Amino acid sequence: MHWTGLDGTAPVIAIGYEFPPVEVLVTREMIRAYAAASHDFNPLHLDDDWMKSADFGPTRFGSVIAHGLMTYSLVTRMLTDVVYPLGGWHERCEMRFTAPVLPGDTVRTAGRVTNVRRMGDLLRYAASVQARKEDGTMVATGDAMGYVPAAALPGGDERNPDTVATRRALAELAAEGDGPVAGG
Amino acid sequence: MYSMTEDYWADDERRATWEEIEVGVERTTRPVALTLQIIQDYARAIGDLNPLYFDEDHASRSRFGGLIAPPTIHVPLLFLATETTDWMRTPGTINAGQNWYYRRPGRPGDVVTLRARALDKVYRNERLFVVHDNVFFDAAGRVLCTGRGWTVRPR
Repeated sequence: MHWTGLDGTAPVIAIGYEFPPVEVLVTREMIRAYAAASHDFNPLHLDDDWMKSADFGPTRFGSVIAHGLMTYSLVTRMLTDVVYPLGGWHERCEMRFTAPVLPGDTVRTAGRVTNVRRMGDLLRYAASVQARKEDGTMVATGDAMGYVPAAALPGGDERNPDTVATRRALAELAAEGDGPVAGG
Repeated sequence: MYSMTEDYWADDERRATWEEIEVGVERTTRPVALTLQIIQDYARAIGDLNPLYFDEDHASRSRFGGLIAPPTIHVPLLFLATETTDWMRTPGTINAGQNWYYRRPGRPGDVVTLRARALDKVYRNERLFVVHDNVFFDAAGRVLCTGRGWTVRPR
């Protein structure tokens, strides 16, 4: 694994830019670990026996399901993996959960910049974001918003400390080679 | 310390049903000391080993000036800040969607408070929804993040 998008070349936040996806095989162990870390111990996520018999209106899941906010968090991770090293900020995310994620599913996130606007020293962007299973089923869809220092982009102001700091951070990450990042 | 497990059935009879949830009334919450362990446990659970959450040297040289929490730290904070009798914990509560605005990062050592309420209740397509409205503050009263979520109530 490596820092997605951080190969030493700053990604260009522009319309059409696609965030490098996060892909994760969801297991019961991962769901349990997420329950412990999120302190959300709803039996939806932990009790297979109950889930085999529980009715949810017209829906029956048949097994435990992953937390919707785990998927939401993976999408957020996809965004911060790119935006933080650029000296930017992840500002907002909105997602609807459209299908359950079951143990054994592989979830793959996607994000694409749809709009950009220069606002003073910042470049604010809007992005569409999604998460799908390996068979293409959409499990979450929505949009996100954030910004990066305009100076961090190619052609940015070399005198701006954000540009210098960002390039230094990128160079350090590149020098680390296969650095931290896990999950998939 | 916080327990690492919780029996969601134990207090279920005391939790408000959809009919009983009072729209607009603030839920009972408690301050949470945001520790490095809470931050790093959560980051690891989503496979996010960003050095801003783990590497003090790296984080101190970043524009944040020190370690921070991932944006979605509001997930454990929401559960740690609410009572075991809170209706959010009713077994079978389904998350239909969420939106969050992030104003500033949580940091280890922050004492975080939550103001939360049901903003709306909706009966739609044979499902009972509640709209959650949440705002987290740091100890100085500054907003960390705000969020709204829709859950499907099991009863």
